[in-house]
Order: sequence, then C-alpha cells, then structure tokens
Amino acid sequence: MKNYFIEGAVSPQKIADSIAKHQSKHAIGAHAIFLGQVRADTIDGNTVEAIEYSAYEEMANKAIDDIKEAAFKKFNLTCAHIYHSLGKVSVGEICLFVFVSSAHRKESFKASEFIVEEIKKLAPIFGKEIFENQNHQWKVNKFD
Amino acid sequence: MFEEKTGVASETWQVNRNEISVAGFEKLLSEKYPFFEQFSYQIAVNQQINTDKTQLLSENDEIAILPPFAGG
Repeated sequence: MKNYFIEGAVSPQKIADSIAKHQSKHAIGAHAIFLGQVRADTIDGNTVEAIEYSAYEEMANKAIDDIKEAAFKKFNLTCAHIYHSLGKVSVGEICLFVFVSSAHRKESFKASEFIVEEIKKLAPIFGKEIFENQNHQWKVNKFD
Repeated sequence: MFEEKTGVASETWQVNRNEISVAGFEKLLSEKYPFFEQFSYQIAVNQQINTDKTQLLSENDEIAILPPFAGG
C-alpha cells in the first residue's frame, strides 16, 4: 500500500522537484497543482500558529488510494501525485500537495478539485490547531 | 482527540454476548465513556465507514471511533 504521508511540511523544493521530474513526459500538456497551506485563523481572539496532523493511517492511505483510482477512471490523467503532512505544520507551510497531469488542461483542472474535495470528505486525517497561547482545538473541515 | 479524553489510543474489548450490533457497541461505549454522547464521530469497522447501525460485529473486528476529518 502506498504511503501518502510525509513527516512535517511539504517543502517548496519538493514541489519544484516534482515539476522537474515530469519534464521528460512528453505526452503531458497540462499540470494542475493544489497546495493546502496552514492559515492563521483567529478563533475567539486566539490565533492559530500551527496544525498538528495525525491520521488513522492505514485507512487514510487506502482512502487516498481509492480517490486516486477514481480520479484516473473519471478523468483522462497521465499522472497524479498526492502528499499529506503528518506532525506539526506551521502557519504559512504546506500540508497538502496534489499534482495532476494530463494531455489537455480540462482534465487537470477538474481532477485536482475532485481529489482535494474527496480527501477532505473521506480521509480520516485529524488536525489539532495550536494557538499562540499554546491552547488547542480540533479542526473540522467545512464544505460550503 | 478522543485519545486525549480517554487516555488510550486503543483498547481490546471482550463482549460476552451471542451477538452485538454497531448500535449495541455504541451503547457500551457511552456507558464506559459518557463524553462520547456530546461529540460528533463516525464509526469505522475494519476500516470501512459504518452507516448501518444494525450491522453485526464479528470476533477480531477493528472498530475505530473517528472524530471529524480535517485533512487538507
């Protein structure tokens, strides 16, 4: 089973390296890249300074794998790569990296949105929002 | 999140009944840990989200109590 999790934030270098790796794939005409970044939400006067991610890992990897398979079936993709952080990710750092490629742009646009929405809905990943005063609360994904 | 409140990441339960459904399990869960009644959670049985509370559990089933998701 593929492991979609990495320890800590996704670095900009990793994203650049991924782009570089695809330069040899000449059937690709479009990439769509989604990056989830930790945002400094303010809740009741407290500001988030980091999110600590954990997951029910075996099930989460299977869920992400199923989502990737579904994306390949629904959209004519050449490639899809997904990485999610575990552990502490500070405000401004990247916690989710979704990178899809296709011959033409339409599939990439749609597939990236599909994958991100499905992950937020179906992957058992949990986020502890750590505030500047070191209190914490648990994040809940919103869909609207 | 629930690990913080119960103090454990996992437990093994021995249930002395001929059969128990997910609903039955939830009742035992809130008897042992009453706070669960105030929280939103989903149940996964062997890593599949459970929607039918009448589903019967089998020996060695892995039951996960999952807080709301926050991935991405």
